Amino acid sequence: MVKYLKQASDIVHVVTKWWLFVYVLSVTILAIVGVFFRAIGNSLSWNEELMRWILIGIGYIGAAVALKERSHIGIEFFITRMKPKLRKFSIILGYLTIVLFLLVVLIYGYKSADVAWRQKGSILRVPMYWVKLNLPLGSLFMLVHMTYFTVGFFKEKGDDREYLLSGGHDF
Amino acid sequence: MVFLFVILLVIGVPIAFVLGLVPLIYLLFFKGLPLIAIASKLYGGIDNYVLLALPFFILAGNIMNNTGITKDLVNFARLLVGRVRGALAQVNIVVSIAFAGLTGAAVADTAAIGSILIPAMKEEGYSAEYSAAVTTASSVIGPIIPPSIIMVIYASVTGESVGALFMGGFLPGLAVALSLMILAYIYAIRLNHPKRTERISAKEAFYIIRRSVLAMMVPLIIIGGILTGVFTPTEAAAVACLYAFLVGVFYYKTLTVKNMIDSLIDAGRVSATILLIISASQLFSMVLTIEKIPEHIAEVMTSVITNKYVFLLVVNVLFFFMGMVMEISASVIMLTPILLPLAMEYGVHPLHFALIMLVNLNIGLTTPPVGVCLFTAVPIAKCSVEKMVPKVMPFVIAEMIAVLFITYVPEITLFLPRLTGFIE
Amino acid sequence: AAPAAPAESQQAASSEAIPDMIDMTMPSSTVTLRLAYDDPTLWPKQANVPDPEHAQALLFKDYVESQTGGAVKIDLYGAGQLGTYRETLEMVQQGSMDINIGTGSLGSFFDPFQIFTIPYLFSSDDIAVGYFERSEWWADLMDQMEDETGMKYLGMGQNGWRNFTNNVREIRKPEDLKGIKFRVMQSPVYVKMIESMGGSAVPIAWNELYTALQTGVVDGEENPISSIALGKLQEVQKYLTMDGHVWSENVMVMNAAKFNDMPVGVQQILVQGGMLAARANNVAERMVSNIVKFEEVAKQMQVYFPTAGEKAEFRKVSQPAVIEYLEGELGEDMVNGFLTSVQQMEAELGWRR
Ligand code: NA
Ligand code: NA
Repeated sequence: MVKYLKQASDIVHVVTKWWLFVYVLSVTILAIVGVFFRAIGNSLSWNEELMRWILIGIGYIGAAVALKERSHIGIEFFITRMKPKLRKFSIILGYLTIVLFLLVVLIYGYKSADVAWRQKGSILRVPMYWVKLNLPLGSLFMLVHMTYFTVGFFKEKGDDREYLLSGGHDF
Repeated sequence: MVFLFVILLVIGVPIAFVLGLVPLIYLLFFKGLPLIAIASKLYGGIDNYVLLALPFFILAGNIMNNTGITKDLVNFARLLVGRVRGALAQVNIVVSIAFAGLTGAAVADTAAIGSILIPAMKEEGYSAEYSAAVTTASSVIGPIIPPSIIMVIYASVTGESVGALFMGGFLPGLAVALSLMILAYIYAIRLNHPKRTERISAKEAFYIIRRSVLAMMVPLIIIGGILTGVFTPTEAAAVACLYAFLVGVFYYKTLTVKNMIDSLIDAGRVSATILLIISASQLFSMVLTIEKIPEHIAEVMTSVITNKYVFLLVVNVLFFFMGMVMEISASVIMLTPILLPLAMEYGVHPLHFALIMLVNLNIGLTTPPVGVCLFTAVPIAKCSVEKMVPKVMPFVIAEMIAVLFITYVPEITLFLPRLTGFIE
Repeated sequence: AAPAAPAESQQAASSEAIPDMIDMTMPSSTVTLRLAYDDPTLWPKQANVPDPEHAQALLFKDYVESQTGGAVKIDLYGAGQLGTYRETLEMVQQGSMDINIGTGSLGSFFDPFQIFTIPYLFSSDDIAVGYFERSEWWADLMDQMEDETGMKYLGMGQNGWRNFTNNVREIRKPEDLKGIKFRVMQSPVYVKMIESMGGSAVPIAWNELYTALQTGVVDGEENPISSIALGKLQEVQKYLTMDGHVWSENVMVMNAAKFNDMPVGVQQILVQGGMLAARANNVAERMVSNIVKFEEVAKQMQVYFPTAGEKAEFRKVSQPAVIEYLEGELGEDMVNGFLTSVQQMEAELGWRR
């Protein structure tokens, strides 16, 4: 079970990393191209909007990458000093609240994207559905990681501090 | 709610999730508002062109560190000011002043200066936490010295002139910088911060200068391009990426496909941790706004005031705490309609009041629990929040002392606008 | 598709039985509606005249609260404190916000809404005001919007006639726009309009506009006087041409489900309140754009009023490009229907004889 969850989580990680790579590379190129065309007196009207859309993607797809690499910013001062039992309880409580949040963003993020089928971009008349989809997708990817972390945590015999989310070491 | 907030932080839930969870639970159990509002707000919170400065500057920093441009810049700085103890910390503050003259948003400054100077400072032997603390604290100068996005927002909410606000920001910005430089100097002496002891021969100096010419082009391109209107500060970062990339490939020949890919992914990942915090903090601000909490607090706090000096002290305390928890433009929008008329009744010049408010609220960007600059510097420095916060707090205190000066010496704000005819 | 002919919908209404008395049932417990808008809320404390959306919101609040005897309460969230206009529109659509007022984004939610941004369309204020209050073609279009988006139209205030400002030269004829970089709102119509006259269109966020004009990232922009004054753009712009190329809106919409849940009497009060609020907006906008802020702005810019002949030149160059674009987006029938209905209003008001 843990093995398959780990596999799923690892696959998601590889996919989201390349996904993020494409986002960051394309947004950087878009900015440079935008400067170039404005400089030669032929401004692009659409690239500002497209860049903002990609930024949303960087935020939410990147959040999944960061979660897997446990580089979200948190405070570990107290939890690393807790008695093991209390720490175990705290970690699980923390995991559950995060899962709650991610579920809400997944469900309502998807609903919000679905409503946006009819909502178009301001310049690029593309349905905002595709842009808004980044939120539920990012949440879904994070939920895959959280499921693996949670199940793995219960099976884990070693140091539970490995399961803190801001530790900066890779699972 | 406060209790929940603290508990979640203590049990190690990442700050972005805490900022999202608290309003979520509030909406779910107390308000009966449709939860779909959460999705709209999380999206809208980062649907902001200015925030593109984050991935761009972090990427530029990554490429520069990989190519060796950063090293050359450090060598050049060591050559110039290295004999002074703690020089690189001072350089960080001075660069922040220069950069403040180019960008309008504090997070852009943190990302830009941090991604280049934090690795440089670490290499010189400063701790990651101290490097991050100096960078965070000095990026407060960014939105005080013009241009400044928050001043434009303030102007549109109050009818104040943007030009007057910009002019009024110069000296307060320098006052904040001075307070930081003094503190950094005291630290340098007391903690024996790095200083260059060896002499550099003329031949070596020539070599360093020659080597750093291409590296020095980075700040020159950024500054020149922005001042001449060829690009915006946000675009400048992307252009710097291109330049660093080209120099890395053709001159330093140090860039590999592998480290370019890593740089891009890392820039995305670090930006994402910051973006998620910004996204969720907007949600947090929205709940405070719907509940009109800042308004209520402001009304209670100002109801007991008897004179101008007490009034100024009380509003400063209020601004400090609002700055800590609330997004800055939300604070400006909520608080000015209540406080500005009061300030004018007490005979405070409206422009003076504006700068007190803006400088003080900006300091909130560097403090926990919701300090965007703080959380931008942490992943760039690769340090931990709890070790960094004690390092940044003394700088916050130094900045508050500067705020008190700005508050009780109106001329710091009003001198330049008067000189240039913006006010009488 | 074009909305149904007005005659049919009237017939449908009259075929139902008419009750003896007006039903003025009020909700059993107080209903609070949240209303969001962007304009600052300086009046009355810090400004001598309310900004247009603020006036609209205040009057709406007063009318609805007093007419319902306090059964319906309106909470105001001005100055964009709950988010950008686009964000609050989304919230209205989804039901987490009740009502909002704003400019420039509703066309992203309902394509045909952008139809009146055809440049140099309305020749006079009264045509625009009369049109949005009384045109049956428009009312049908708004019913269609309600069906498709779940947002109920509650009236159209004016955000103001949009004018060109820039730092390069005084604009008197379309050729004068050549080579000038104009910041435009996020809308293809504005892009088409500027490009048709030879200018270059650059979308830049409102918050960054002042600095972009100062450093020269863009040379010019186009806005109503009230917005120019709001952004203090006169401090960084030299020339103002009062060509009034587009009539822009402060439209009020409400979550339709919420509206339809209200008793009939309350619905009527909301509709009436929306119309009166739009009128209050129009008065405030005129005070701001023509008197108070105009003086403020004109002090720091060189102002030019184009002649009727020059305006005709602008119109000749820019209108076909935008109409062609809109025909592609919305269909020829709809654009023709719209233009005809505007002409009908012009005739009704005595402008065409
Ligand atoms: Na600045
Ligand atoms: Na408006």
